[in-house]
Amino acid sequence: MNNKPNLPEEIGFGKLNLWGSWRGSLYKGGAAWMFVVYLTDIPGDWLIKHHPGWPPGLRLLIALLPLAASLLYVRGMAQWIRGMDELHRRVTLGAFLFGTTLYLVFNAGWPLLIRADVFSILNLTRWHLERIPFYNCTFTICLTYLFSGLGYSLFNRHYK
Amino acid sequence: MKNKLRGLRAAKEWSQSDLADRLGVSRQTVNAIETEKYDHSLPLAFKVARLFKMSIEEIFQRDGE
Repeated sequence: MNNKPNLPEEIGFGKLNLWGSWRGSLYKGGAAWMFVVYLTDIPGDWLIKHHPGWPPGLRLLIALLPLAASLLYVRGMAQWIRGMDELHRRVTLGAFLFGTTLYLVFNAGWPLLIRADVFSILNLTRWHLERIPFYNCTFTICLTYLFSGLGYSLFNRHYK
Repeated sequence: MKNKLRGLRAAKEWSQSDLADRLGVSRQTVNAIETEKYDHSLPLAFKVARLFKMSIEEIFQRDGE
């Protein structure tokens, strides 16, 4: 009888071996769809910019492909979390809430920093921090995942 | 919440992993319950009680009782 619950470690949370966890978790938690987002988002953006004459339907399809893959990734992740035991489900949901909230804070706060010209004041203009693409699917998923991993490490410490 | 899980598990000579497999949870969850760091759900309390053939009240007690 296989009634082993899904573990957050299997999708890379709380692990330092990033390469190993990426390879091992490709078919877990909808991670394959996450890679589809990575593979279609930036190339799709490039194609749309460099081929303004392409039919609107094709352009729309290219533009929406990463979004569709993102939704499938979220669905896969939700199913993965449902397969966890109650402790890990609680910690993981808390971690994703933490990650999403922190992402929203960054997303909302970054334009304020730009408006206040903070990067010029701190002499950071050469890093072009005002160009961070918060609208980009790849960037959104990566940053939210990173923040969620941080949240998981924080919340999981209590139960170790 | 206090509990007698560690003693009951030891009496059966099960490791935390053995008990976790029987309950369908992770070893970390069993450890967190035994060390009273985690207040589990009622369905899991029923599972534990059924596994040890005892009532919930015999295994789990509220703090101060």
